[in-house]
Amino acid sequence: MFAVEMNNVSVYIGDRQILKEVTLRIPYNTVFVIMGPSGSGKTTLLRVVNRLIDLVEGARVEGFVKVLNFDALRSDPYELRKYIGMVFQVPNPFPHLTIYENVAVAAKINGVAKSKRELDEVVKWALEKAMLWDEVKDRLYDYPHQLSGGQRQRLCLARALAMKPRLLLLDEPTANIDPVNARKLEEAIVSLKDEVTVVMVTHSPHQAARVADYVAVLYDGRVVEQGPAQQLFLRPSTEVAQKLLRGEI
Amino acid sequence: MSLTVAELEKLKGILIRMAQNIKGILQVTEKLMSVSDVEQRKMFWREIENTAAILDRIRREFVNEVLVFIARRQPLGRELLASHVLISIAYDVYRISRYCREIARIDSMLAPSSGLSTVANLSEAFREAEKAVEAALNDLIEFSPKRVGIVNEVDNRVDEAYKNVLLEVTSSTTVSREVAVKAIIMRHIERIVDHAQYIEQYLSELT
Amino acid sequence: MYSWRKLREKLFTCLIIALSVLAIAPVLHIILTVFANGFAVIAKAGTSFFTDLPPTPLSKEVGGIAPSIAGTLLMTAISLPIAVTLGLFAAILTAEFPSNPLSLAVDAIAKSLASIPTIAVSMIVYTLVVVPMKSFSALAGAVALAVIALPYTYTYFSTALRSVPSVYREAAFAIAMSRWGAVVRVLIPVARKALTTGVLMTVARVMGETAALLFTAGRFRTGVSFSPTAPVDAIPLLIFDYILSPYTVWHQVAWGATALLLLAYLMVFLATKLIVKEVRL
Repeated sequence: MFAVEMNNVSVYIGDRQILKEVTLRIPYNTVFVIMGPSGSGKTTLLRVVNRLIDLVEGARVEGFVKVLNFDALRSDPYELRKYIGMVFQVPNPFPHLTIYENVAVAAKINGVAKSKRELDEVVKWALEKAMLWDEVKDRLYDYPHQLSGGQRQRLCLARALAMKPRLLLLDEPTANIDPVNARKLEEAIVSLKDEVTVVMVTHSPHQAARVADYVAVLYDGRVVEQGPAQQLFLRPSTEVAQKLLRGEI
Repeated sequence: MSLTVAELEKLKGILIRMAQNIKGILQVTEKLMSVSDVEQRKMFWREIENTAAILDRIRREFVNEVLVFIARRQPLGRELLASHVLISIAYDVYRISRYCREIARIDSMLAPSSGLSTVANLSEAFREAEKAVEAALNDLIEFSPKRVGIVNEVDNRVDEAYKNVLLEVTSSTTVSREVAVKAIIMRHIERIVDHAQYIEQYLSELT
Repeated sequence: MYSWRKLREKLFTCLIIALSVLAIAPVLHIILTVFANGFAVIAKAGTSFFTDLPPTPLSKEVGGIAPSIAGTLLMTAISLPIAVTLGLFAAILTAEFPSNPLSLAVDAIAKSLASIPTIAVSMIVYTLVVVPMKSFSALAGAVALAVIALPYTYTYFSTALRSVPSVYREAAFAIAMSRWGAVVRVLIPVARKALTTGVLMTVARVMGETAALLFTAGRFRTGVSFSPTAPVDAIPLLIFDYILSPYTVWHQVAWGATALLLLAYLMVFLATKLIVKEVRL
């Protein structure tokens, strides 16, 4: 039915409540964008999906979360993460591995490819999907520090894709990249819809307008409005959403 | 108030000022339809011609301003809809002035031997149209379609009148000059009321 | 005004340079003196310096320090793996489970081990190992060295692991690596330069440790022994004993041994720069 379902999910970090009774439905094979001002809990929400919230000291999650037929909060997180790829705000390709190895390690660990030939194919496919292949095909054995920030981020996307995930989580992926690379990344994201369900977090309403099929507006830990993107971008029904679109918050 | 909203208010102000000019041109056109003195009518023709030309220029510049606003501020949501509404209403206001100009042209061609004042009931119909446009303009100032009822009523009445004239034309094999002129003018009047209605429709899209 | 400021700047720069030279000068002096005196001895003895036994007090030949070299190598070879392994596991423990009480305990213990005087360690190991074994041994020496090296390895490794930005750990989990997989395939490889430096620093520490071996190693100089349960000698011990003696030839041997030790240290430092390829973040 839905790739991700959240019912009354609340997240506490220490004494502070970050997410307040969040209810969401994310359909399969769409680009679902979570929009909101800084500090509204978007990153936390994303990390609940692949249980990376476990790494935060003092984090507590309440409610029900269904991710790809897993009861996400009660399943083994290492098992769950096999089906979910993630790209972070700051590009973080493994610095000790070559470009090729960075992408290959994700495929190897998840049993996506076994022989060298299969691995080569997956690496090429992932880099093509991330729109990075043409730029690195002659230097697959260079290291990530030799790439620009935008290229590193696309490498991270390729790494996530090499897992052949069913769900792709993107945490403000273009926040630290130049505009040209940001556009390339957005194009790549939109083209992935057929193969994965994309959940992206952004604080830029224009970026959301460029890529989203569905949007959820998060403000102060609550979902203020959610629905098809077209509707939200022309006729938002809440004042908070309208303010967000204007860039006032 | 954010820059986007402030600039949008400024554009609204420009549109409203443009629309005020319509009142003037409608009044002159009304006078044109009731006066027979050629010299006076010549003055009116010139005034209508000038105002229409000015409004055309203002419209083009205004549309440009709105496009620049859209490119710069990249509005979303209500402001995006409002941009579209502003451009559309500017066109409607311009068209109203154009129809006045068309009416003046017919009068100038009828002169010196005849004039619109000789055709029966035109002034009455035109006054109805003026009422509709005034209602639309007041709604534009308040940016809310409060008087849409009035405009719709006028539209119904003018439609009726127009249909009657068409009936006159279509029911006989030949048609007198008076009836022909009446038909053309009534059509222009009907279109003026249509544009007043469009203005109301655009305003209601924003609510 | 303008030229007074420039003058002040120049004055300050000169002061800094002078103080730096003052700080480095003694070290340079030591190195130069040791090499000058020591290499003269080694040159006189030739390669036999590394293969012969030490001379008798009144002999004319310089002889060699083979037993000490063998002993130092043996004890380093035994103590290093112990210290490195324990230190690495402790560092991984505190890196992965920072708030666990066990981690806090380990951290506290490892750090306080460093403040025990090395001579006290030597005496403790004497009581615990030498007495039951009824003899000095390389093993006892190695145990003492390991105990002293442990806080160093733990601190080096712990700092090295902590210096890996947490984003890489997150990335490892995000591609569904297991916890242990993330440590072995990401954490340790990214920190490899710092970890290797830590190991080499420990080697240097262990090689030059003297007090720990006073009551544990045994000072066996009359033959070369590679048995862990038998007494052995160590280069620092030899230097310590021979310098205190009244015999000139033994003084010469001590100079030679010091030069050799210093050379070994320099090679270790060079190795830390050259061996492991740096991971550019």
